[in-house]
Amino acid sequence: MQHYKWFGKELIRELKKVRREALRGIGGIVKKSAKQLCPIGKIKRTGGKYWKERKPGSLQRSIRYKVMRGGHKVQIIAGNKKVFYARFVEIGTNKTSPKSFLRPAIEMNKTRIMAEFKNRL
Amino acid sequence: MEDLFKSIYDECGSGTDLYIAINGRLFLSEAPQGTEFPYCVFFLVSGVPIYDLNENIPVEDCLIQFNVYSDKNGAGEVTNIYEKLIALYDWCTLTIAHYDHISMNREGQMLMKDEDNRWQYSATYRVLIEKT
Repeated sequence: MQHYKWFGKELIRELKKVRREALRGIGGIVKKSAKQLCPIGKIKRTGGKYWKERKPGSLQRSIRYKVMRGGHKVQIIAGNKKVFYARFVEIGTNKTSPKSFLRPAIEMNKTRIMAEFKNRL
Repeated sequence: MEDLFKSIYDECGSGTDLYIAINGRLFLSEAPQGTEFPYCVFFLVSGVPIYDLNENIPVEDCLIQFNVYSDKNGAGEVTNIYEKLIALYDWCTLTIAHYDHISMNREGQMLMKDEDNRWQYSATYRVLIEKT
């Protein structure tokens, strides 16, 4: 009688690792593209309340990605507590016209994203 | 792209509910200074060509966003206009010069207050058009 050893757990662990790496790769592609598309202001304002401070390039520097727990999806994030205006730049307001950078970064890299996923998996 | 913008503008003709609700104040990219509320702005978020094997560009994949603005305290007005907007543009068939329209489907929506505490309703549409 032949005996087979089942490596299911190891296989699943390895697949999850590869998937996580693929998502990291995708996140890196979109992050790089979004940083290129992100507008950079000219006004520098310091002092006063933290939400009134402005440093050119702070929105660009705030762009990052995060592979979600479980490794099923990756989030591209722009803005933080100080850079609260990321959504105003992306979506626009009644005073400022939008300068979208996140959605174009995803749209422009769709083929690269698919290729990255195929290559890794 | 100019043809696409023109067709979107033409779709909101003078007889439509949306036109009446916003009193014809539909603008491309940005509204003129001092425009009365409510009004609507649409703009191109991204436009990606889809190449065929001959490296022609038969299909353009465009993301168009509509922003509806209202200065009322409640969100009633802005949601009412939004309902009219989606009634007009969801799965509508645009007549575009030099292009065949394939589809126009809504991909997302967002209701928020902007920096001036005014209501803003955003809707994003994916428009697929094919060069004739």
